Amino acid sequence: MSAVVERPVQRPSRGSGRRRHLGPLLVVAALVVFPFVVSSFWLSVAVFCAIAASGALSLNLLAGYAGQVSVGHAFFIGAGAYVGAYGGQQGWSFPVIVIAAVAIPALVGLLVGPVALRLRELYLAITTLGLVYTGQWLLVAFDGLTGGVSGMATTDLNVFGMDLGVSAYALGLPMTRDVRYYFAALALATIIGFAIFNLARTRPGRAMMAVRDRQVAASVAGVDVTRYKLAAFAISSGMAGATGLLYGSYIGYLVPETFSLELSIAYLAMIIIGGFGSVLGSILGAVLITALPQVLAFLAEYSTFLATDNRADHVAVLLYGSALVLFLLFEPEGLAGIWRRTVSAVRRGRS
Amino acid sequence: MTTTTSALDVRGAYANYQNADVLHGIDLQVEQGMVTALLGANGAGKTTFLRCVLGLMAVHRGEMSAGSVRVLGQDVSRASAQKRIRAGLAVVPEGRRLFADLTIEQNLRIGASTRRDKETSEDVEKMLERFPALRRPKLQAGYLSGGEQQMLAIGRALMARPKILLLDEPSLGLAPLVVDGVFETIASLAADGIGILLVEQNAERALDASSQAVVLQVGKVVRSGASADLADDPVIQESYLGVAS
Repeated sequence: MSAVVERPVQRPSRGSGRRRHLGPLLVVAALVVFPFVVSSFWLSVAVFCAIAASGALSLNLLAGYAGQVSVGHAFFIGAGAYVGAYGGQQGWSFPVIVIAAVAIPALVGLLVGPVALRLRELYLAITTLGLVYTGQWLLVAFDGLTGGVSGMATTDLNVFGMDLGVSAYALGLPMTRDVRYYFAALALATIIGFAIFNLARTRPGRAMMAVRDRQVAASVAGVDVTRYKLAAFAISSGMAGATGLLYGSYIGYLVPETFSLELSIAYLAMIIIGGFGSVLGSILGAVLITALPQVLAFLAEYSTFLATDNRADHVAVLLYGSALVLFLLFEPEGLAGIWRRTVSAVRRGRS
Repeated sequence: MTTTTSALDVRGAYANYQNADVLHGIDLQVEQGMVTALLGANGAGKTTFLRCVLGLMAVHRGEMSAGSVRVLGQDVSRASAQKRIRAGLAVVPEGRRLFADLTIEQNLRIGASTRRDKETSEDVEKMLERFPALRRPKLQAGYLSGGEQQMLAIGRALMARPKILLLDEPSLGLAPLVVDGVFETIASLAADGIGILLVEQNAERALDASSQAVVLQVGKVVRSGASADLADDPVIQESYLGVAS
């Protein structure tokens, strides 16, 4: 008997059975444990990261999947935040606030959408830029509703009887306000992430990607370009509204300046660095861009160099700017592309 | 000519870009199950004619200023591209114009965008079977060879279940053996009852593969008729077939 036994060739796969689910399970477990083991500073950073993930995902649907690059994202996030603040003031119930904070930005997105039917790429981006300034002006002009430049307080959300604003023990765990908002933000990002992940695998998602890649070819393949551009604007804006609602409620106070061009640019940076048209990339980009200044601020406590003259802030801006340029130049697939290649290299190495 | 309904019937097509007239009254018919060849040199107006048929002139800042386009008797002269596809047209564009980042399967499914039935998945399977070049449905279209891409472009067009298929220079840039495959496919599609409009620079192959042919020159029809007759026409032989007289 020879020692050589014919074995079926094993393809380098994702691992079978239990092993395949191990990674995601560990991630979920880590996310659940995280808020109870970190300081309140890092917990707060995590809440902002999770909220930013929702915002980045919604922009990626529009820009990365449907190919409509917009710098008006801050406008829709602001719209959701202000609608939420108004609803809270009026004492609306949670479902009503959510519906309003999603539907109103979605409707505005639908109205802006037709611009994208006539303009493409740079011209569309410039036009959506106008949206941000229009929004700022509206917020100041209608100061009776919005408080103008002096701003407007928001209320904590009460999710079907669970008040996100209170800090109390629940299930034997210290459920502080930050912990509650952390899980709410994770839930929203998960819902939006799954929605986009699934959309990309259905007819509307394919149609959007076809419009992105070759608009004329898409139209002669029978894709209704108008309909899917408008749908992308409406859905993305509605998701941005939900993000704004949570964001506004968490920070507690809104001023027009919060929803300036800088916020739009930050979201664009997240999806460029994270990866256009990638769910995972949106999340990675959001975490990186949101956490970076905080990490540097944290390091400044241990470094006299960083602590002097606000250098931590300057370094954050410098890193953020150079990362943006470097990714545009060298890694158009973003962090998601790096991740994909690393995983396949590891798999090849193992087999 | 008025008694039977052609699959595609274009009458008196005039077209212009800005102030430049490009087509001067083109008549062209495609019958079901038959191949009509549209021949002409570069700049003769072949692609503009296809744009008129597909309703894409406005996209290219042009206009079809007069004439009519009928698909299976239905007047679509003013309809959107999408409505024309739904009426029975499909196109295999010049240069394939695939969605390179999407998979073979996704490309095929996009071809079925105007359909409302539930048989799309079955048709995808049929295409994968019909074209061996597409045996890896999860592969991104950009990784296919030129010939495979051409087959995918044809498959994508067929996913709309067209009655009339427009092919714009399907042999361009392909190896001779692959070109044979393309022309075999065209013949078998015609045998299935699809009316075919074949736009080609390769006049010899096109006349061989078609029953009727129309020759354009600077936006005008200079010859039209049975392909066999045109192949013997001395003018055609000299200008397009490279036969010295």
